[in-house]
Amino acid sequence: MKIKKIQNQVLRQSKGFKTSDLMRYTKSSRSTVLKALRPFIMNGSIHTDGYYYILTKKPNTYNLIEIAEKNLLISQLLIKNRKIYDDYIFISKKNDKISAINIHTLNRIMFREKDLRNCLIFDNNSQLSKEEYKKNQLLYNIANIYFQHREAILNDLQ
Amino acid sequence: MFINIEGPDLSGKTIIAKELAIRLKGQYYHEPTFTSEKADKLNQPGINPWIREYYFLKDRMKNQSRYSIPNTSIVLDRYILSGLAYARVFSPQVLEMISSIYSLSDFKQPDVVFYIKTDLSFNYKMSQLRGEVIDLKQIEKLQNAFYDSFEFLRIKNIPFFIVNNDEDKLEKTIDVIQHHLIEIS
Repeated sequence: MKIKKIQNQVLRQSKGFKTSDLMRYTKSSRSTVLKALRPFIMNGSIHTDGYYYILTKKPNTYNLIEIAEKNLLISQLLIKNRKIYDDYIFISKKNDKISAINIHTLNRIMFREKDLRNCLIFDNNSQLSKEEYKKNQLLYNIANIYFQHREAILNDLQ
Repeated sequence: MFINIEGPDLSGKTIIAKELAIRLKGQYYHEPTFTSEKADKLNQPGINPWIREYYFLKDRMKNQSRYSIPNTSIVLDRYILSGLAYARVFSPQVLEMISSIYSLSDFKQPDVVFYIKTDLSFNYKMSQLRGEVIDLKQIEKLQNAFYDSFEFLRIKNIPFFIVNNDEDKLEKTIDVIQHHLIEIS
């Protein structure tokens, strides 16, 4: 019952959420929250080495919202909830630097192999500051193109 | 000038590109930068097309900055045209996506492309000389795929030339390329 409540809470979110908020709203333990989030993950948890966030599209606000901890893939969560998926830009945060955004997450959607879990294209630039990222127009454009083809990518990988 | 030499396997393009770079006192580069063994593995049946393209695109992206050295002739052995032609043969699902990526204005475009055209008998002889196993049907498919990919160059207004590379006429082939370079510069 509690798990269902958490899941409903997740689906109602329009601006991302923190696992800690979910714990508080639903008076649940962390393990219960993570258990409730599990169905959103397509193929079970995949280890990731950072924290994952949703970046809202509000200009210049960079409203970082923690969505999940290790072993929870934001991208996979969002595939199940296209409403959120289409409305947000994804980023991950590592060592206090914002890294790799859309394409970083897309990589996790597309490539399950262990050695492909890091940045899709920019291994050397995987830790971009916000400013650096903004300057990297090519990265941004490629990320958008991958986004446009995500349906085909997902179909081929399933 | 950023010069791109293209063609299927065993067409002699690497020898031509290296020799051209020497003549122009320029810089020779080859793509992909990973080993041909790895490239061959990626071109095997059963490889997920998106993963195949991931490796090639990742490699291509890493090299972008080295093609913008001012006052230097860059001679690049394989680039976008190979990417498109090989995708047509090995991972057609991704063709539309990578065409869009290669079309991006920030993606470094060559100033001119030379496609090295050979008869299949030439490719076969080259394979014999190198002791390599060759699939002539696949080479033929790739030749056709290269021709289909010329459309990309037309759309992008990138000048391209088809240059015959006949047996024992390497010097002549390079002379022809140099002649075209003088024409367009």
